[in-house]
Amino acid sequence: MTAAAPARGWSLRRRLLGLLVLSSTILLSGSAMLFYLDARDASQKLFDAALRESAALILQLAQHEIEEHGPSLGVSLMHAETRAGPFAFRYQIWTEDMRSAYRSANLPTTPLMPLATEGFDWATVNGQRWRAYSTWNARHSLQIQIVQSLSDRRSLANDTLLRLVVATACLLVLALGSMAWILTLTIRPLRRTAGHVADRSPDDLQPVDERDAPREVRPLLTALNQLLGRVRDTLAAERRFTADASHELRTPLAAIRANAQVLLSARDVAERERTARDLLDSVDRGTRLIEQLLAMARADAQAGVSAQEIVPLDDIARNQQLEHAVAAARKGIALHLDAEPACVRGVASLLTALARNLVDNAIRYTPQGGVVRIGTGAHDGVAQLSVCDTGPGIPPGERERIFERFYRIPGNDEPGSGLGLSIVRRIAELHAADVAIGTGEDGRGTRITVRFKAA
Amino acid sequence: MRLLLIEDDAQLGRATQTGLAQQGHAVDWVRDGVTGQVAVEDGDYGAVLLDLGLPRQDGLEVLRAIRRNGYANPVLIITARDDIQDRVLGLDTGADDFIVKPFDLQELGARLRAATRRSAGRAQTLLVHDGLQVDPAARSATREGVVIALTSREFALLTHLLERRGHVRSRQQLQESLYDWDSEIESNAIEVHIHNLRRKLGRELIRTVHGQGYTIDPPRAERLRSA
Repeated sequence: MTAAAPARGWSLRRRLLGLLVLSSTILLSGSAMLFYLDARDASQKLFDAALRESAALILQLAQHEIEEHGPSLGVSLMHAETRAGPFAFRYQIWTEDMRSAYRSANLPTTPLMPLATEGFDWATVNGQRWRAYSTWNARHSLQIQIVQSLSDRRSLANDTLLRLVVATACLLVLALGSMAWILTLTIRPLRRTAGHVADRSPDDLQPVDERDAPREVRPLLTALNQLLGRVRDTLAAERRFTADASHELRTPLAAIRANAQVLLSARDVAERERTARDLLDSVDRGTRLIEQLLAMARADAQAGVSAQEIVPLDDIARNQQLEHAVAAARKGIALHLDAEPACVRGVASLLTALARNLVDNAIRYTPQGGVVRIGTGAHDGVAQLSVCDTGPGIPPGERERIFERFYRIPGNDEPGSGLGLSIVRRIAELHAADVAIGTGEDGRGTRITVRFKAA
Repeated sequence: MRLLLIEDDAQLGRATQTGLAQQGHAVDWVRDGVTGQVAVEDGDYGAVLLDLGLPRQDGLEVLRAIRRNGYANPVLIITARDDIQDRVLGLDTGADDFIVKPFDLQELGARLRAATRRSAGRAQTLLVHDGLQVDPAARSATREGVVIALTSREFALLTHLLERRGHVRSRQQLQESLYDWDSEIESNAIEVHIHNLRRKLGRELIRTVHGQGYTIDPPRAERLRSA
């Protein structure tokens, strides 16, 4: 949408203009040509008729002269040649016995055509082509052979042709100008829309105004606006996430800094030890938060699960039991595994992250001496992974909100990132799985179940 | 100075509490908004340090409530939210200062002193009284140029009385300004500190008001001027 773009690629306006000019040139030239050919044909007929009439007239005249003054015709017929222009003609008059009765100047002394022929023909005199006509008088005693210069006859048609060419060219120029103007007018709304889009600041993602645009362009604008909308949503989510992430990272950083400062001026050994422990805890929390953020970003970057493999959920569950055994033991929590075979299509690393977050949350929020149960299984084409704990449970009113990024249940004392369940949900979405939150065994605690399509 | 810290994060809260204690303050620490509000109403805090993202009640709500209930001493907001609107909103709701995490404990101490100074209507950083000079920032006291060695409780007690010259403070009030909830206090602790201050600074500085408590009278010149 930059200003340089119209220079490259093809132009609708130019293509349209080119096609219109080409077609109107062909049409106009064609009609001019037809007109010319028709006019030429008509003028030939006209000339031929004039030639025949002149021949008849002169022949009659000559016969009359001969009857009155004898066979020598002389000058008395000269006046018939005085006409100039396209209607000028010359002739020979021959008697029946091949004697020349009369001959115009510059004509050969021999007959132009054999005397036997009669009617129209072409003759070559002095290297020029002439239209020739020969006819006998009624008594068959005299024959006239009359010729008319082809170039003279053509000159009229050529004049017409010249006028036609000039008129056609003028029409073409007019047509071209008006078409260019019409096209410019028609394309102006498009240019205006393009201008509006081009003039935007990069962060202006408001929809393009469609009211002004022609119907043909609407689908394009609608698609563009839908795209803009999606980009807007994505950007807003990104901004919110970045703001939330920086907000969440500040607290562990502040704790690290404050503890380090307190450590430097610790007043006794107990204070130093306690502060050092807090410092380590803060670092661990910061680390965990960063890991969660990275897991989130990785899950987000996965636009759809493409590199699909068959992943056994029961293996993942077994690994999670091993991975969390120490943490569970430290809190005196019994970590049980109930692994029935369950295979799904997906990405193993993401599914591991999903399971890890669920188990991690369960252990985190279950008090000392509680029970956490990891289960997998498949039936009726559904493979599922569930984690069940004896913690405080999640009130029904909070069950939707806890999937929001950085959301923590009010009054919850456990230092968490608020990202774990967002990650779980995102990964589940990528695998077209659904996440359900329910109450744990005996109506206590929480059970989170992720249902996949079995592979 | 007796301070209330309202901060939900365990590690940051403990570190801030300890850090301010190292600077000679008595700090009570609560971890949610509701408890914080109750504590402000019950205690006699020289200043409140308030986080905004709190469980049970949002920091700004706490601030609004304690200001409405007449708490007039400085409130400093400590928060991870750092955009301008949040600052403006915090200050307009009644905060005296706005500190963004992560912060420096020394700077926090300085901002506390500045806020206290402003709220007491003082422009000077030093407390001066009849040739006695007390510097709250350096936590040092000198008389006619001679440095007087004071313990941190003695210093806090002296500063407290100097900041409220002309007002009588009861033994209970003095004790509350010096000790946080976790301190074990001897029943005669205040008397011992007063005794030590008199020994180091002269008998006439702190006057005993029988049956009421202790006070530092404004210097004679000031008394005449105000009369």
